[in-house]
Amino acid sequence: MASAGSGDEKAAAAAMITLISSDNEKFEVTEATATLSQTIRHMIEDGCTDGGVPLPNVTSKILARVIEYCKKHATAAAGEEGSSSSFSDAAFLEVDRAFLEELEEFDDAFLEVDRATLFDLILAANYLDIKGLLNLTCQKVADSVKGKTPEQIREMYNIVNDLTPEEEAEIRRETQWAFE
Amino acid sequence: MGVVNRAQAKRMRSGGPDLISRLPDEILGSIISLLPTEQGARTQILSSRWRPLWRSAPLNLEPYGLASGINEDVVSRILTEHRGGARRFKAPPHILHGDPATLDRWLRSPVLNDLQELRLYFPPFALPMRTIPQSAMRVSSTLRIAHFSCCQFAVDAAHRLHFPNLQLLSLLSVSISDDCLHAVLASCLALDKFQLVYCYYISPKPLMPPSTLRFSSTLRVARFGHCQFPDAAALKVHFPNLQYLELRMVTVSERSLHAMLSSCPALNNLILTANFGFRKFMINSLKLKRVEMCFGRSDTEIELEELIVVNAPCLEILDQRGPYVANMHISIVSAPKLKILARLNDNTSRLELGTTVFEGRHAVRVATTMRSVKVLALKLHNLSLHMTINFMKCFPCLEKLYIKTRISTENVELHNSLDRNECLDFHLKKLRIRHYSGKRSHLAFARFFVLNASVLESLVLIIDPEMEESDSWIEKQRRKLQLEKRASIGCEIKFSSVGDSSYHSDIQDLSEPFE
Repeated sequence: MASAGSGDEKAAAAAMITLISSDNEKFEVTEATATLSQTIRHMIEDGCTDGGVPLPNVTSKILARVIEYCKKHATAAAGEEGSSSSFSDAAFLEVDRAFLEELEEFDDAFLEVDRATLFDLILAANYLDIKGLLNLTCQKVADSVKGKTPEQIREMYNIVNDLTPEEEAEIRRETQWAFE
Repeated sequence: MGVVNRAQAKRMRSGGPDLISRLPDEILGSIISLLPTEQGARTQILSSRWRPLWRSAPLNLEPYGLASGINEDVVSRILTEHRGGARRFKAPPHILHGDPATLDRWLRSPVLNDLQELRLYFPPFALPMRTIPQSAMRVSSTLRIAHFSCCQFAVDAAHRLHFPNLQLLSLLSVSISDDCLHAVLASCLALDKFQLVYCYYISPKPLMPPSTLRFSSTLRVARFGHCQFPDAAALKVHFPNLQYLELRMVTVSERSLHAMLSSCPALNNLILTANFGFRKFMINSLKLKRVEMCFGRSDTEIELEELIVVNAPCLEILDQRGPYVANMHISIVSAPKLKILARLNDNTSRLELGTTVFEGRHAVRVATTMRSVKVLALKLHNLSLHMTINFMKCFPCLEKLYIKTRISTENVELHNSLDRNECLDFHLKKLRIRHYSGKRSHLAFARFFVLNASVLESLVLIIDPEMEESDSWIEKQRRKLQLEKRASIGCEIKFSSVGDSSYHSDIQDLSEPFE
């Protein structure tokens, strides 16, 4: 898997793509890295990447991080982009186990960001259609609220409760089983 | 709306802006669907922005755990009222014990149209065995994960079975005809994990049809159980990409077992649990990293008597529990990377480690040393220091030693030679003795390590909880162990009645591949 990936990367070495952030910063990346984004992959397929790919929804700060992710995952992605099973398999499948462990460590470290950055990464992953990154970041948010009460979640994410007591009572009545 | 203003004011003071609500509905929906069912539903009460999201998010219906308030009525209501599609429907026995028509109705719900994961756990021991409803096949074409347990496939269902997108198929404790099985597998184009464990009370054990074993070049993980591998089937095996194979309560001949394994060139994990039909098992594999074996007993079937690791250049973990047969013969010829060896037993009739030979409790010859072994687990009916020291000579770089012994052992053979022992002087860091009785022989054994293991970091003596030893007993034990003369000043010595110290903690647990 890894060898195939690095092979791809070598083959694509000549083909560099320029990504342009919303604040007009330019990033040169290999095609293998860029095509982790389905959005960019389609642009390449349509032949509209000459002169760079403008990404008006992504700031340079976030784009740099997204590229960091894509570079790391480009080798793993060859063949099975977004295979969500790869991490859970690492425990018993030996294929590139060391590599997968390293990748997992990378992902953990990658997610050590403040909330604003995490949400920006989610938005960028969504816009660029990078399935692996979107899964990873959404899972991080889901994990952060798991086992918490609604009040704790509101507190954590500064969610203002604008429901009236009547509306709250109605929700509790409709889905009573969830609040027992 | 005074409440809101106060709340808002409080947020402004303590937290900051509500960033999460900036995310589009679709993404919040994905996050909600990653939560357990109840918790996903509770997000409705967070705020008006969140209120409609759960109902239109991909449904994760997983009423699990005894505390779950989701009963059959609730499942029916959720499936009727939910407006988004469904990602996962996992139905445990307490949801499925009722009228089969209920399940049929659920499976016909439009909300399940594009279901990706279906797991039906029927109540075990239900007689007659429940049959998978036809309606399950309505969603089969989108499924990536399917699990069916404690149930049967209708005999005439073969032509309806079609799972083109399936990656994981788990059939646990099922009854399925060869035709149906063939149809299921023929429809799978890219199966990655496959488990087939027949129902245990079908007797005689079903014969594995040859078509099962031949079908797939994509398969990486397989578990087969409660069946017989006829030679005709086993000899046709070809799993070029199989990495994990588990056989559980399988009857297979010696010839077939070896032929089967040599047709799995990528195999690196092999788990054999209570299998019969072969007297000798030889490990001869360039890729295997881990072998776990648990021997069963049978009055009627052929039991394993001889385990030989012929050539296993990558083998790191050999964990064999047993043997329960007294005349067992174990031989490790070549396993240069072996790191964890468990469990050697003092009733093994002959144990060969290279040219080192043990017969019963006696070392006939200690010649070959295996410097790669770092963790060793022993099961010693008689806690013999002599034997243990011979093992340390054989595995001079041992760092962790786990010993399980019998409760009442007397007459330990006290070791009187104080030859330099590399393991004691430089490597042994952890020693655990389970069923430590504190009697003279056990005490002398433990004291030997206190006085001689120079780099020991931790000694745990695990006493049986029913012994209920008092603090003064422990105090007395500590005195008799001569802790003041310990060879390793930093060594921590602990008496424990909790059986937490097993060698298993050194083996990275395999996560259940079919969960």
